[in-house]
Amino acid sequence: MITCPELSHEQEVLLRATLGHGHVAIDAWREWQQRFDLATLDANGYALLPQLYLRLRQLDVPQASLAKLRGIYRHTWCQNQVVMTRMAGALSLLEERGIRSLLLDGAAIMATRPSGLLPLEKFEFLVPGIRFADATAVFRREGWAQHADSEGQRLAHAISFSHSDGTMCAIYRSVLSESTPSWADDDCWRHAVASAIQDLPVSVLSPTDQVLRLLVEVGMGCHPFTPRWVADIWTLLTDADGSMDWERLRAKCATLHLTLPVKRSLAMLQALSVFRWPSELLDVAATMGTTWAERREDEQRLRGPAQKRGVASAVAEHWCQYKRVVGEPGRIAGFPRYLRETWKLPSVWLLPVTAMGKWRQLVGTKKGRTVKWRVRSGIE
Amino acid sequence: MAGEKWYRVNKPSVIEEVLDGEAVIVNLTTGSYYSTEQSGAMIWGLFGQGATVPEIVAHLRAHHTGVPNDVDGLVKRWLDFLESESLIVGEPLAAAATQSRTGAPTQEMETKTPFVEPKLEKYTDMADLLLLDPIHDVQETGWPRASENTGG
Repeated sequence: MITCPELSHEQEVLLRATLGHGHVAIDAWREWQQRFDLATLDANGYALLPQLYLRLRQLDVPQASLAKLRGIYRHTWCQNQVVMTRMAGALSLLEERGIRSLLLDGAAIMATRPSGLLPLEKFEFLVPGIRFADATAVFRREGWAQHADSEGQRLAHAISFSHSDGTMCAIYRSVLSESTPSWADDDCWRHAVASAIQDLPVSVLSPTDQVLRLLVEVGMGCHPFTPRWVADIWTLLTDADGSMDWERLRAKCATLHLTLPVKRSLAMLQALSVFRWPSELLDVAATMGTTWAERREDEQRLRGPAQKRGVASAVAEHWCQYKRVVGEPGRIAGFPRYLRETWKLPSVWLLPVTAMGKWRQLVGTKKGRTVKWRVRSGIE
Repeated sequence: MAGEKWYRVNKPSVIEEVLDGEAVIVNLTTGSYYSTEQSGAMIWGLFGQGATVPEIVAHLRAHHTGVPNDVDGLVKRWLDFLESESLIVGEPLAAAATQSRTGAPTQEMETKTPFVEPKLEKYTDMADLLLLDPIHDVQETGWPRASENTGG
């Protein structure tokens, strides 16, 4: 029995059938057939069905009982071919203009696996930050419509587009988030894996970076915890065949101050104990240290931007961002210069005055009534 | 050997996958979807190895019982049909001499299956086909065979 509060019992059983070993998968499939119905399955469960079909046929489950699943696999394969054809055309256009691309998420998983493994709703890829505007301009010129919700996110790290035939894509300027430094993306480009989509050579995010991206996205609440997410991590880890670089993953988490989101995601995976997660994955959670500054920044992130920050949280946030930019080892001597640039000050000597002003602003906003009383009573 | 051809899948217009004895083929240019099983899927799988008609015939004889005497003609007609659908391209064997062509393995199989004449299921509008819900709108045999009440 799996105990993961984020999943329904139906989803848990389906996951066991899709990812479980031998009799675990077969028993789960029987249980699912007895208790649940394909006709009432939700979209999150549906996304597992093509992979479930591939798993059950590996286990020699009679084909006759899998006819509908086989049809779902065929449908997914066919739909994905349409998306991949559009993707190959779009990426070729970028390449003609000297803009390289790196496949992310579903497209990255599909590039090296059976084309019907998962429903590819949209293709997502990274372009070098410096060519981001050029890449989005190419898509607009080619008739792709920018999604209304990304109009207000021009400075965010991705923009979504859709084609008149219904194909959707998202272009990213950075793999993790807007605030990660360029070295983090350079590292992803350096470790990219070569593959092909419909005979077009493509670069794919390495399994290590794919796992890191998945863990961070869910841990930071940017992506919901879904059965498909669990299956993707499982697929990446079981197919990695020694190519997972655990040390790099651990070091990147620590340097980018992303240990807490990763630990949160890992705790959810650990709850799914019926799967034999690689010991290295669980070791990552146990051996990664979290700094005080990251803890404060993370608390603030979970509270959301509407909540007022304390001085300590504000300093922690700036310190974490600075450390991300400079990488490891972060030099404390550079922090004042970083703050000067962030606050757009002409000189570092203005930092104490500006910091004092910001502190007064924070205290004034947070404890407005107290400050007013002090002013009235002549204390300030 | 004079006039003999070898065949290859018409890429990149045609994409295909062989899974569990069924070849699923899509012609992206025409938007048609095809499916073939048994001997049809076997012959289709041999194109990937650049097989010629004699090699395909030898392979069929090695794997099936009850192969008709005029199987050469049958295979040629089948290939002509696939070519007319622009799914495969035939090229003179001489032109293929410099290309990688492994040919079909022809060793005898211990257990042969009865020969069934190749058949091709064709659906002409893939866009419509993709709109079919593969759970609710299809027969028990699964997508792409639409159930009666969906008008397929």
